[in-house]
Amino acid sequence: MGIRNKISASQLFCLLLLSRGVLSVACGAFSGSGDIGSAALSAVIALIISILLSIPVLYLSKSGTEPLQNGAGRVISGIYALYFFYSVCITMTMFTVLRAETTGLRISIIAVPLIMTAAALYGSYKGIEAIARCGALILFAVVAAFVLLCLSLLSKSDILNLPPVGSYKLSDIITNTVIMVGEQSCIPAIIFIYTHVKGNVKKSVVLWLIVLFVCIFALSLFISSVLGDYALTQFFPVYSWARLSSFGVLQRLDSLFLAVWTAGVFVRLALLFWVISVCVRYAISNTVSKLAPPVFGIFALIIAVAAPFNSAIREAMLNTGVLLFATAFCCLILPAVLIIKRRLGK
Amino acid sequence: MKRILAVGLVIIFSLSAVGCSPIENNLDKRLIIQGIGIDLEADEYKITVMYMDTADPVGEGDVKSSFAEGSGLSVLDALTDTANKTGREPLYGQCAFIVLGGGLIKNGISEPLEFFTDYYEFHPNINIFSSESSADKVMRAENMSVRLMQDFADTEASTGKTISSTLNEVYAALSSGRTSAVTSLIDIKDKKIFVNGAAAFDGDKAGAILSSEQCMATLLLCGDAKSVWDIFQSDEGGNINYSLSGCKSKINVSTSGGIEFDIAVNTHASAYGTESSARLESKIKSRIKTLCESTIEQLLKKKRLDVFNLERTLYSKDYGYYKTLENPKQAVVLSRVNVITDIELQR
Repeated sequence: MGIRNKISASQLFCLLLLSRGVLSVACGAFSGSGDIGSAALSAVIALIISILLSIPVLYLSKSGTEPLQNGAGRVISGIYALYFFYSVCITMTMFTVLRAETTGLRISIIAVPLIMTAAALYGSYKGIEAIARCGALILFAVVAAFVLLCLSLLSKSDILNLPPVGSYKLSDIITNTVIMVGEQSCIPAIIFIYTHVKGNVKKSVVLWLIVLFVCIFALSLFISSVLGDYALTQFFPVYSWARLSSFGVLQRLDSLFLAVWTAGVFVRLALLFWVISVCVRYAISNTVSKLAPPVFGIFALIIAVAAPFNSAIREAMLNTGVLLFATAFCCLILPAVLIIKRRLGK
Repeated sequence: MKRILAVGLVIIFSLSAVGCSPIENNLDKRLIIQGIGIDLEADEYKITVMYMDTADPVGEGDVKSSFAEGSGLSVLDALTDTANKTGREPLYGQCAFIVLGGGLIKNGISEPLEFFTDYYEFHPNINIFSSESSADKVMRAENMSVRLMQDFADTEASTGKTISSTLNEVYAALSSGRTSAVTSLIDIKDKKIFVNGAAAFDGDKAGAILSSEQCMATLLLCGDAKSVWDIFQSDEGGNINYSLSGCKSKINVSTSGGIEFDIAVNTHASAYGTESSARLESKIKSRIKTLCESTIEQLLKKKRLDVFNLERTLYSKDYGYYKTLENPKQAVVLSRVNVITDIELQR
């Protein structure tokens, strides 16, 4: 794979925060409910569930050794490769749907995802260390952009826009929680990253989950206080929130949002392609692992480009039930099998 | 070699990613829409668009505007018809304002606003104006310009004589149903337009026209007034001229023994005159209190329009009680509303 393949625990934190954060920024897209106010409550529940889901993975990481060598490990790696491919498809579908249906950018529907895929594949071939370094820089830009957006929209927030806690619908809370937990593909990815991390993986992962959900909690409340019931009509409320921003003579800062979000999606895709390549290396061979990311990338690109035109593909990709099941299976069942296998091996 | 290739690629992408590359997308081939007027005539939407006349610029930093019109059974049909008549490709992203004509505000504004909300090219920050006359007349007024319409929208912050709203604010009010949507009202005289109060909506239909004074009172009650200028006649004769700044308001609601709202208005006043400060302060205080109370009486009690965020406050602060109400709007109309003014005079 790359030249250097070791990252620090803080780089792991940045990488996970950015990779997972870019999906949260597009929250509301899955359910279409747009009830972003109840997302704050869901964030608290999702934090607890996510910490529970990460326990088996963190238990595996304690040994610091490769968990997927030979035998059943090959099959499990294959399943993980398919799961991460599914995650790539979801990320790219959301990216193309947002571009095609919300931003109105008049660029070819295929050109940007194609360039994005090619860049992400190149990034994945540079290895985890390069992705992590790039991720840290982009995370800084994302944080700076969001601080600027928040400051510019502070005057537009109105506490009366926040729905009272009692008004939250249970169905919205469950839907939002399912989406937030379902999007946690970074948790199983840790199984393939931890052997490349110098430092305390457990501390980084727990800190990542806390910071992630605190950010989602705060951002949900803030967006809700700015948009009010207008959020209910929006497929991507976070993007709609960004569209309202302006800073002095600087108008329409949504372009800033799109730029940093696109950069974040690039890092997420590069990480997922790198993880796919590691999975295939465990499952088949080192040679095939180099071919796997472009092959998966082409399929994901086809699905993503077709999604804005085909509602069946889009619904299949954004099915929250399937997503939750797949994530729970990859976070709990497969790591449990690996733990049992390791114990029996001893 | 690798670096040269990388730099070459960056240059190629940078150069090809800017500007209007296909020849058919040149600016003079685009219909760059600056503002839209919508009328409803005989169940058909009539659209008047003001667009940048890029084919005939006047130079010296000014851009000449032209007008086009079209009609259709839906707003999209009418916009398409308008664009077809000009033979240019429309660009809605630069649209700065929408004027809703008299026929439309009487019949309901939900449908057109829903279109503008859903259509990604329209920005949620677009200013929305209403007019009792036709939107077409407003659009074709002699003094019509994007700058003037922006000045009208800014009147809220500079004088408090109107209440301006953007697309997302109007649509949020319409979709929640817990507050009345309000827009600036444009009037026309001698083919010239001017801002003249505001229009408040009952549901999606115009429910009342707010005078400049009522706009000022509403802004004070909602805590949205930034700067207010007013003049009134004192009991002893003579006019008192004053301005208000740093306005804040707080609405408290109590539900024990019926709904009762206490609206506390806090503001700094500046006034000039020969009278003592205490006397002047008392007169301004009384003026504001009377103005606020009469506005509540006129709009809430008589027209049943809650432009003061009272229902929203009840919903937000006592949701448990709100849930038990069969008709919250009626309950708010029948509630007691007390206005407490606290004014600090600075001379």
